[in-house]
Amino acid sequence: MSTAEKISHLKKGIDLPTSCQFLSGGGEMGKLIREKDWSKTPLGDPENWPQSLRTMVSVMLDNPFGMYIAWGKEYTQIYNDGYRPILGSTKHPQALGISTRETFAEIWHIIESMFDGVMNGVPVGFPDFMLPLDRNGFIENCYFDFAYSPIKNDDGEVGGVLVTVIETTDKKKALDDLKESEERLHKKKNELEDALAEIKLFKFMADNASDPFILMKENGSFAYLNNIAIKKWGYTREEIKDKKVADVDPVYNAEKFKELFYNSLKNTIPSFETFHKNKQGDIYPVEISLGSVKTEKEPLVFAIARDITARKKAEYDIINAARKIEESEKRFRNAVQQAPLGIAIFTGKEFIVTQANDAYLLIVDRTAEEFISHPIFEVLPEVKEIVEPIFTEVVRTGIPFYGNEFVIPLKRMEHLEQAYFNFVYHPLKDEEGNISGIMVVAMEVTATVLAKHLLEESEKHFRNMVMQSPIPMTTLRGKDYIIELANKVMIEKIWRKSEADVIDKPITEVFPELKEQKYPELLKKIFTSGKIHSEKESIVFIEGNDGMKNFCLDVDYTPLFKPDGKTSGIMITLNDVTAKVNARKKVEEDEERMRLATDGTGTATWDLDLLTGHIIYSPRLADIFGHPQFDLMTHQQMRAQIHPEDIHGIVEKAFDEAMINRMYKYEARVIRPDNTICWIRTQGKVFFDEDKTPVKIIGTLRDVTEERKYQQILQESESKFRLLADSLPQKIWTADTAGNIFYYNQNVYDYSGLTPEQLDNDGWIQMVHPDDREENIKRWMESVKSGKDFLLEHRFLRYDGEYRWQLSRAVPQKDASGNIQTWVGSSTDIQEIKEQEQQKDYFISMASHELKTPLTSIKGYVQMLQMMHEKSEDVFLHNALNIMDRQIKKLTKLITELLDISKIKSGGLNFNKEHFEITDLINEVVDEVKHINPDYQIPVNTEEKVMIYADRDRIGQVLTNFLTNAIKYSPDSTLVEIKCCVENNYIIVAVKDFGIGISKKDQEKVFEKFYRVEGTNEKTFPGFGIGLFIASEIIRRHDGFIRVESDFGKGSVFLFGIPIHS
Amino acid sequence: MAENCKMIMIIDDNEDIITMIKAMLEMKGYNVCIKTNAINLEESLEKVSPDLIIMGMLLSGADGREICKLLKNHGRFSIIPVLMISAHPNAKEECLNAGADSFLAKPFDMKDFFQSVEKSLALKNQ
Repeated sequence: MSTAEKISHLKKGIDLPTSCQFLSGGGEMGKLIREKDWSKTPLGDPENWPQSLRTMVSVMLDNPFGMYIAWGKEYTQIYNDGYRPILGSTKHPQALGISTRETFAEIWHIIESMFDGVMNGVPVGFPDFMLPLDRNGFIENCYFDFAYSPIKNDDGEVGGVLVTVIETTDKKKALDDLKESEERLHKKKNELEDALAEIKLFKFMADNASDPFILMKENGSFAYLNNIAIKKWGYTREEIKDKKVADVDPVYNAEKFKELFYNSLKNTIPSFETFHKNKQGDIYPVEISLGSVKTEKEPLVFAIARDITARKKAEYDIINAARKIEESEKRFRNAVQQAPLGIAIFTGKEFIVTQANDAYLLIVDRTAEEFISHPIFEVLPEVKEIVEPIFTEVVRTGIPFYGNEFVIPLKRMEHLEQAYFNFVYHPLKDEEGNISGIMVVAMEVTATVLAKHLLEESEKHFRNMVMQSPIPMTTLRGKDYIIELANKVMIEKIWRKSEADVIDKPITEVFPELKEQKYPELLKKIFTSGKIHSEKESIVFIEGNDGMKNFCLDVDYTPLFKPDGKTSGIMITLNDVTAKVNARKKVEEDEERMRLATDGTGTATWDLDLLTGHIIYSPRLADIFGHPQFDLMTHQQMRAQIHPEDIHGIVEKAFDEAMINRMYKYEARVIRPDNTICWIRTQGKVFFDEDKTPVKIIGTLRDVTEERKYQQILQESESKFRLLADSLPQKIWTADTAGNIFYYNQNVYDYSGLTPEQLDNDGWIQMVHPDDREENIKRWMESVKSGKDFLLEHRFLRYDGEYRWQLSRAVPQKDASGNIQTWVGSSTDIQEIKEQEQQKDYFISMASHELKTPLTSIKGYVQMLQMMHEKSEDVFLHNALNIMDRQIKKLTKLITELLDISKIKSGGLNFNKEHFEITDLINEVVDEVKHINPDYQIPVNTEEKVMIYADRDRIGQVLTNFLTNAIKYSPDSTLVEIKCCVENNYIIVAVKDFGIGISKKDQEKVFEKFYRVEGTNEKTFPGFGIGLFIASEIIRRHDGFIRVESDFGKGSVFLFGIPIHS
Repeated sequence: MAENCKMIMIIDDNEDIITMIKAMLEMKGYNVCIKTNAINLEESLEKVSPDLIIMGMLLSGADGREICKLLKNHGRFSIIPVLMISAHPNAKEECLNAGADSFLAKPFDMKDFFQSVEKSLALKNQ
């Protein structure tokens, strides 16, 4: 069509001649009809169209329902916008103005007879006829009720066929939705009630079947196909992956299949026939046998599809003729029963029914006689109240009235009921354009509306269930996952947000943190695949109003479907298992700790069933028995590995005892497969049932080989020690850290004549001389407390009643870190030594006495001579007497010291303490020393006069010793200083010389008995070396201290300090 | 020298010691009587009536400490001061315990001896 022609047609459309007013309106099709050059069609110019056609076209163009007119013998086609989609993209717009024969050539052989029938006044109809239509950018299955009715000419002859089509997809969808909703409810209920029910895994092997075997999923895809099925359809296995049932079966589209699928899950479906289409497009009849399979994941339905082409052909030939007649009758009946679109024409002020088709009569439940030619509101008084004002308004304004799900009360079957209609009240105009009446085209949608109401009810129920459920749930709508519904527990416990913040918002917008997790991808996958997805113990981070929180959730994602099988949304149900998982983790940790603990100690555990003899044990046990850790051993095998010497005497005996006292305990040897011996220690407890029958023993088992080895070594060492200790002439004993003696060697028993019991009961103290006990206990406890060596001489009672002196010594045995473990002590019999010493002391004592007596005479006579010759001029006599006097003094000192030593040794050094002035004593001693050593200067530095309580002679003796030593070891100096002071209630006396000094090494020893400092240049100093020993003994007995400070070569300071008021 | 007319009795078993002490005392003008044992001591004391007894601790056949105790428990003789002399260790304490008025350890300085004698003699006059 050229541009000029287009404009011409356009003009024509705008400026319609008066006779063509009936072509006004009608949307796209109206425009196309007006633009159509009808002169070239069998209908000729619209101006010349018969009145009945013109009226019908006018009605059609104003009608939202699909309408199609096939006029005249040629069945020239005119249709409206509502009908256009039914022709699809291949037939429209060519169909306008041409014959039905041409447009529907492929089915003409079927519909021809129907058209012919209509032309003879017999209407037909097809309810719920499915057509896949691409109306919204995708193919969807649509349902239509088709009705073929005759259009009568003005002369009463049938001029053409009116096809009305009403889409029933909504009704169908509503029913399907209801069904799905019920299923969902049912499913959810089942899930909730029986979440743990196991679905038995079904596996069907059909490769050896002779017919195609098809295992189908809910969505129509194939879970499994045997080779015959693949071959029959002509697809490769790869190609078939994307196919669904609808691709191979033109009858069972997604909806029908789904219906069949669910039906077959619930019921046993008898074999039925359908058609299959192979890859080449050949269609052939098949007989289907169905069965269902429930697997873990999803329900499956299998079909065996037998090709029945041959059978069908034979059957067809036989029944063909008869069927044609039958069909005609059947269609008639259907048309009456199910004609979907009621059409009626009302004229005049009273709205007299001039025409009403069967469908209309059916709707109003009146016969033609009751209805036609009567004013409508007389026949249907119940509708007057509602309908009359509308009729009047349509007539007044000339504007059609459209009703959608309009409620009209109707008395049908003697009952007044609410009926729902979608309808048009269309004004009818006469030649002059005056409104002469109303044409009503109505479709009853009561079932649809009721179904919708039911659906709403069901939805509400579902919603309530979701909302009331203690299980967190939400539904997400569309590809943006908009939160449509979320129950209280979901919002409050999991999301922790206000309802207003979440509802009707995309979930990823509400929870941006989910974006960073796997969720967008997961939701997309579910949405696209339409598959249920479950996750166990999934960790999810969700930011609520109280901050980020992580949950451990069991999550079920259930896709929600639209009736066409598309995913409409996702339902998410959660089970918060955080607490459960935490608890389980804790148990696991505890178990792990227990395992580590037992592993760490190398302890194996076991559990013996006494009734069956079955034993369960930890891997460590197998290890101990010398097997790989996960080897399985029976109790008999374990027993067989016990050392033959131990099996009866130890193990079986222990077992018998365990049956009585409940405790199972033994140590025995196990022979490992490599013939090594392993000592095991078993400890267990016997458990009894109500009848007091022992049923099981649970216990532990440990490898104690090393322990035994160590014990053996220890025992050997111990026995060696005892052998040695018993063979010693000394008394050997060991004590614990508290000082309790726990071991005595044989010698102790032999010496004391006491039995081990007597010693254990009454203690070792019974052996000690009563006079020594107090000191003994005091000294022993001091040692135990301080950890210092114990050393004491005391007397032990011998078996014959004789007390004999013992030298006892004990040293602590310390471990690596210096802690005392035990005390090892010995007591040596020193009675004889003691006696010898006493004899020696007696000898010294007597000797010194016997020496002193003659010395007394000599001294007396020398001093008498000195006195007598005091005034003599004889220098020699003076010198001789002085020397004699000095030497007598030295001799006296030596003898005194010898005597003191023996006194100290025998403990006989006695003190006569008195109060005296220390400075007086110092001056006396200094005078005396100066008298003998007149060359020396001995300045005394005292602060004040101090009274002390001490043995005056003995302290004098110490001072004399200090001073004589100072002089003796100061060969090159004549100065000795004495200083006396009080510090901390001690009187301290220091004697300083400027002599040879004492080396550090010697300083430590000067107070020892018989120690003499070696002089330099081989010069020796006379003396026994006992002076300082006696001095230190005297000071010690005064509870004081004595020490030396010295620079070798420069001189020394000797000092002592004693308490002023001791 | 009135005090030098004092009678001092020496009791000891060692003749050299007796001789020496006698010489010292006589140097100072004291009258001295000697007993080498304790036999008839009471009779001798009655007879001599000494102002001071100088006595050794260990005597042959007798113990100076015992004699000292006897004397100190004897009413009439208890007033006679006793100076005891010994070389024996611990003698001082024992002698003083036995009732001796003073003690002098052997060997002694003549100076100390005279001091002790004078001190002891002074006791009797109190």
